[in-house]
Amino acid sequence: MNENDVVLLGRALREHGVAVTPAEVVAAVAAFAVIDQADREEVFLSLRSVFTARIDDFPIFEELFFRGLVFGAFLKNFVRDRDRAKPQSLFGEWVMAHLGRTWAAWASYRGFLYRWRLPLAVVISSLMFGLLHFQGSNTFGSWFVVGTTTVIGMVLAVIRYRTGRLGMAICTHVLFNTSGLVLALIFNGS
Amino acid sequence: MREEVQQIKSLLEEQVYVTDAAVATALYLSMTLGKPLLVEGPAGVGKTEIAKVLAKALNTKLIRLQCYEGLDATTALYEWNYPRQLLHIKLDESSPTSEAEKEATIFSEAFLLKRPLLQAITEHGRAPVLLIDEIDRSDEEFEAFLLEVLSDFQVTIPEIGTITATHRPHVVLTSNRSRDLSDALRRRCLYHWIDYPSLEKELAIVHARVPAISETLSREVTQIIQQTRTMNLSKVPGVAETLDWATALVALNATQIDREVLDETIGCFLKDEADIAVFKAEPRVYADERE
Repeated sequence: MNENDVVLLGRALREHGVAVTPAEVVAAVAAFAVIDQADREEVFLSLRSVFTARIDDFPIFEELFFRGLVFGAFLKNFVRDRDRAKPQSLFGEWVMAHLGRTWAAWASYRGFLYRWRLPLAVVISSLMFGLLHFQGSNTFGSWFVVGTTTVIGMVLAVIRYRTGRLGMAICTHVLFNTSGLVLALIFNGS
Repeated sequence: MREEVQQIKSLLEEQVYVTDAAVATALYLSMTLGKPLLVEGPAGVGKTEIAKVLAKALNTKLIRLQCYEGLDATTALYEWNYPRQLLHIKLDESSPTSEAEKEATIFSEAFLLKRPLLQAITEHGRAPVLLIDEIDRSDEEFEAFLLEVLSDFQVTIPEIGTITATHRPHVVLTSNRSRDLSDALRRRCLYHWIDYPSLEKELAIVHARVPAISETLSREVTQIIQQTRTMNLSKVPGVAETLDWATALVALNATQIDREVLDETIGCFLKDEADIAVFKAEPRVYADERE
């Protein structure tokens, strides 16, 4: 990932309804220069604090980052057949630099990995998403959260793959976030 | 993780503030990029505490501007000390100084009452932490005025001239979302959202802030509070309430929470008659187990 990808992420956010200003894109590039670029969590948190301006922007940002960039990079680099028509992935270089190269070399020789490349892409990108929700303490509760968010991430990644559209994943994400609220209203409403 | 971020995190933890990578990263960026940090979240989750702890950790001054409806630029920025000016004129009546000289004296810095924003700009020595608390309570006009100050960090006083900040203050704004802030302000700030903590995190906070509490009691307290948050209440208890309650229980030498203790101390975390009724009608936390 490089500065160019940060700028493209800003543009993608604008396309999906987050009113990112040019000044914020400049700030995001500046932020990207002063953080640990190899730390995925830090990159995510930093860009989120610059690019979003309200809590309602969070699901859109999370989708563009994890399903759009991270999962998109996997799709572009390893699962090309169905996804060739999709736009170029922004994170390709970045993911490749970190774990992609070895995996790609493997995948081309080993039938097993070749056959399982799509599920692996779904699982690995979702694990990154799940681990981001780690609460910091080694207890059942926090691993439960990581587990459930990973599963949700997998569902969202599959939606993104099957529909080929990020918008669907964003809608599902927002729906999921609000469903908890609706359930609470139904069961505590009396 | 970047070393500086780790450093900020451990500095905050030294000040007994249980935090995570998100807060530390946001603070690091806010200080490095010189952008204000807007912190949003429900009441009582430790938004204001971020600024207080940051000031302590950096060993610098905390300047607080509490916002309220009707807060205007003069109360936030500066005022002339009118009674003192009057007295000075009175005392100075017989002196031979000219009119212009007299005027220059009474409009000098000695007669200036510095309000929080001007204080933050003129602070010498170290960059202070400027906390603009509950910005959502102020009017839109004030928000617009604030935009100007926060972008330039300079103030023009007609009688004195333009004062520019020697050290750019670290600005933290908090909001409870009682009113939607303008996009202009939001987009100029870094954004951070604090939610109610998870059970584990809240437990860690209780242990850090009320060290005298026992393991079983703290677990009971946080579990009840976490369950209370899922109820249909008008005022959901925040972390501040959890800590109040835990402190009260320790002061009462309670070893566990039975019905009697709960009745005595319920006011620590539920501040509304109707909410208490809702809580007491809830079988899973009140009626069954705590006979």
